[in-house]
Amino acid sequence: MRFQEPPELPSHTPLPTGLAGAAGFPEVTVTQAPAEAILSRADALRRDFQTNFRDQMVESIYSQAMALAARSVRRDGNNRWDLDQRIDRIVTSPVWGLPIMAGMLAVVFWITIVGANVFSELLFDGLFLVESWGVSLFEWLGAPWWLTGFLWNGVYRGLAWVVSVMLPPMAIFFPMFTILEDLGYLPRVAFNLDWIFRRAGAHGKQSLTMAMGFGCNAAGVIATRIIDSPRERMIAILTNNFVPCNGRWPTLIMLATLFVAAEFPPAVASLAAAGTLLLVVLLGVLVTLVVSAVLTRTWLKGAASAFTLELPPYRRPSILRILYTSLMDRTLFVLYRAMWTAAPAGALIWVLANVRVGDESLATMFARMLQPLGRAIGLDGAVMLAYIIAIPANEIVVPTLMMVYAKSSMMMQEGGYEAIRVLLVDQNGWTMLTAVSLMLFSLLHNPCGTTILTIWKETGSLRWTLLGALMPLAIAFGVCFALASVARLLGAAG
Amino acid sequence: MAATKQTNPTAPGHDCGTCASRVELEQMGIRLDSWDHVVALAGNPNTGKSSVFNSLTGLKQHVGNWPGKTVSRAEGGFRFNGLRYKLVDLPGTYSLLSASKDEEISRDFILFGKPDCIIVVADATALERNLNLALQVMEITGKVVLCVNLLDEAKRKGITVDLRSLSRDLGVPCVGTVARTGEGLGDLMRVVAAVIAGEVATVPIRTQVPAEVERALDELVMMIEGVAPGLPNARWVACRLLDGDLRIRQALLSGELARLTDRQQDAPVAAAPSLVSIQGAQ
Amino acid sequence: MTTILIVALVLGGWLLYTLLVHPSMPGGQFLASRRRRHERAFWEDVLRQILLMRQEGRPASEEALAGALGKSLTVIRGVLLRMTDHGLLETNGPGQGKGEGLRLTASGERWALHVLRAHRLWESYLADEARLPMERLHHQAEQAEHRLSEKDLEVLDAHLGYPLADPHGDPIPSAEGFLAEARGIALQRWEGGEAVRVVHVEDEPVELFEQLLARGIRPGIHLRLVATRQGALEVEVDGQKVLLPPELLANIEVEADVPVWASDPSVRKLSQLETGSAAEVVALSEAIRGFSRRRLMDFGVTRGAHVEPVLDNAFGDPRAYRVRGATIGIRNEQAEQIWVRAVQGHHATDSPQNPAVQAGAEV
Repeated sequence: MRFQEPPELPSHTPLPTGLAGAAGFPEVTVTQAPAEAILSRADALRRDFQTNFRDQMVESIYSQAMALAARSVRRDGNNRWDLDQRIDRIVTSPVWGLPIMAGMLAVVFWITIVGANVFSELLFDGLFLVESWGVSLFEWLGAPWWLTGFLWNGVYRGLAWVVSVMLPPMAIFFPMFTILEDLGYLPRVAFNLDWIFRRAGAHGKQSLTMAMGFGCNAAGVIATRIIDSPRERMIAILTNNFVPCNGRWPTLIMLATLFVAAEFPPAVASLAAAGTLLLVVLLGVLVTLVVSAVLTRTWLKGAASAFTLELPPYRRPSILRILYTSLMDRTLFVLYRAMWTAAPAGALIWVLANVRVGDESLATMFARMLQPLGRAIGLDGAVMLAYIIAIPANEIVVPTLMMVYAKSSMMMQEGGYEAIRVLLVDQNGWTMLTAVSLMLFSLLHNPCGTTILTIWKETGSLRWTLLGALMPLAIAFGVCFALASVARLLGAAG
Repeated sequence: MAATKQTNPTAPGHDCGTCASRVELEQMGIRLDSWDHVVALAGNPNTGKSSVFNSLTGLKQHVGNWPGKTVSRAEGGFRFNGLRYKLVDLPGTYSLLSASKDEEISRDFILFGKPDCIIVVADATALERNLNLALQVMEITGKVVLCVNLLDEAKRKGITVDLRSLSRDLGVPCVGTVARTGEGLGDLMRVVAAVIAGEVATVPIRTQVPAEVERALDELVMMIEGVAPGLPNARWVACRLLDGDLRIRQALLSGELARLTDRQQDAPVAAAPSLVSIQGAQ
Repeated sequence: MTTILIVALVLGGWLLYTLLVHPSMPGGQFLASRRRRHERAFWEDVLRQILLMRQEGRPASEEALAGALGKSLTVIRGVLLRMTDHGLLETNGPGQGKGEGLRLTASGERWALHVLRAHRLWESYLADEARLPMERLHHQAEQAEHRLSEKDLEVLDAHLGYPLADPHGDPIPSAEGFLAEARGIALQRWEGGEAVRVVHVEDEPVELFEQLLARGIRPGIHLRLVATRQGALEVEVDGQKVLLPPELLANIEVEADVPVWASDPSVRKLSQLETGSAAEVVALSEAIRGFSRRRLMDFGVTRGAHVEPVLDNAFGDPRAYRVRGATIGIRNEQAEQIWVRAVQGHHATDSPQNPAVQAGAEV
């Protein structure tokens, strides 16, 4: 066979991934002969250099900088100098470095959980009081029941829930995180942990983006900007979801308290709950490392890039700045985005609970339809429905779940742990296995809508966004299915 | 604060919406409607650059992203001696040579955005490392003021910086500050205003390079001046071409570099270059 | 009944043909473009191979091409004929038909250089930025070289900082088509002094290449030739003695350009420096390329810089060093590629107060 098509010279094909940053240059339109002559002369000169031009240039600049500094800088002793290093020798020490780090993390969590509880309840009461006023106002105005319900019990309640669950922990966690950042401690964390991340083909700075993810995964995804290598940054973006954000903490805390802690004597119950949470977090870190390693060998091939990181001197943090950056840049930013997704979710929940087909609500019907899927992974249809509805914001999983179980017409306020226990265990047959499955599912499932949106904005790629959303979901289903199957086999055998 | 003599024709309210560099700035997402001067803040990470920024602008700041980039940007405004300044916080970088996203943004802003002055914030405790960036910025533009920050920390560590000698050596004014407490920032702004007004002539030092490189640079500079006569940073452009900077190559091919010089002639001619002693530099 | 069946079959077959195979229909266009891509890749392999053979001073015959590309002689003859028709090749001299004296025309050469440039730049990209292991570069680049346009290469070239040689030490053709001569001499035929610098390590066949890598042989390292034993060569790499069997010697090219410090016994790797001691940087190995190299130099890890290891973490990797007044964490993998000379630990100074170095203030 003869090929008649004259094979055109190299065509324009899109650049491979990873180079996107280098490709954003404007088209060259005007060409001038003398300019081209300059370029080819420059190319020729560059080739003729004895040593690499860049090396020579940087060396020249630095030797000049050295000479200038030598002329104008005078050192008299070095007292404070050693203080910095003395602190460093402790916090990065082979023996104490890791325990100190874990301890700090634990303290930050503890303060966040305990402090947030108090403020959450206050906000809850306040915001729900406003709701009851709003409902009364609408009734007084004579608005139809569905408008009142849709606006106040739907949209407003969704917003109120998200604000009261999300705002306090973020307003506590982010300033503490910023203090550590300003103090200069965080680079030491990356320094301590880099070895572990390198083994997974990732970068030590990923540990910092994960720490940020404890507050909010969307903020964690944005924080990956500190990673230079596009490949390692992508890994950090795709795996950030495996650290539970504070939208998921309520679910985890509730399950740990209701099921695990209840097995222990009251004296150690709270310790057992905390230990369970720690296990979940460690599991999340483990999954992060495993997934990073797998990505490194599949879609994001390559070895770890260089780790060069400055460990800046310790500095006294300035409180005003911390409050400003952590509240304005982080907390409000995250909250703003979450509210935009929570409001429609609240509306959807209300519609599902109030539109009736035959003698059951849409919510009950969907839960029944999702039952087989839920059963396969050791959960049930109501949980599946709650997670589908909670895609925009994970905070509303628990209230939605309660609503479906209680066949109520709106999201429920938690009526104390005892009431929940009765609802879950006595009325809906939950077991320890259900609780463990749900904890795993909560840890591993897809990121919330805000995070997905952020991934899309940060990567600018639909493909990576899809992977970032679907991969965790697949892992969550896989792990829970495996667990359920093993449990079933054991149950059948035993 | 002593009042500075106003010799700048760009008086308050002067409409410069048509100047070419203003168009360029607007493309970089800088809103210029109500500013007399644009000042950029460059520096290594961890030098207290953001403290300088916060102390100067207070709460009048706007945080966002650079257009089309996932790099955060902060800009803010303040008044000084009756003039309104826009302050743009460039990403913290160690150099302008590595072509990371941050460095590209800083480089493009300094070269194409042509801010009226650039404050390079340096850490007094690691001046040598910080001068690396300052020297690179000074190759692009002479409108540079070196802000030697963290003097308190340096003092605790027993480090003293002779700012007068450093200014003389660098050929640009150096001002010592403690940005956290606001110490020295008034002096800094006075010097910046003087540099913008052309009252302080800056003669930035050129990096000394091996003879082999110098010869190559000289040859290219001559060729570049043929294409873009009067380009103030032909040597730096030659340097970037030898290093192989795609953005600069394309700017040369498209005539964008040549247009940079046209703009230069629009700009007010600085007062007779007299080596004004730099007050405030103590 | 049968007639209807036959008619239906014929009509169906015709329909299928027009839809799937005929070049003007969607399916046909898909097939044709696939075929074109394959054909183009094949042409490009041939062009690159002929260019390489010429570079190595081997005659480009049909048989040699068939051997190198793993195709039958008939296939090779067919493609050479087609390429000659397109003005990419010309045969001269009496050996016509037998393929002796196969030459690239001007346009053939330009294209061949483009393919070679794409291959070597892509290998550089994979090694420097994606940091793929050396032994996997070649295979990946074999595929990428057919996809990259000239414009892509311009961007890639600039992104990598216009490297002169790929990670194996092969020269990369410039955009204008300039291809530097290989500088080295095969170790087999080396007759110079005992200190040599490796400039090129052949990446094919992969088995031999892996053996070389396993022995620590890579472009940019310095070897000391110790002794010959029955055709095998004993060399010293990084202070360790390694035996190179004869089949490997042909795949290493060396030159005599060894810097003075390479034979200085006081020069060590930065990673070998004890915490608390002090040293001065002598050189950054050529193995640190791309962004890693740029980053290290930004931090001031350049020749003449004063460095002190100050911190070890729980895993002993990375370690932190004081460089030019700042503390920098560097992985051992990189620190192994930085050569330093120990100096007396003058603790207080990060910049030696050297009055001999004068600021050249030419104001």
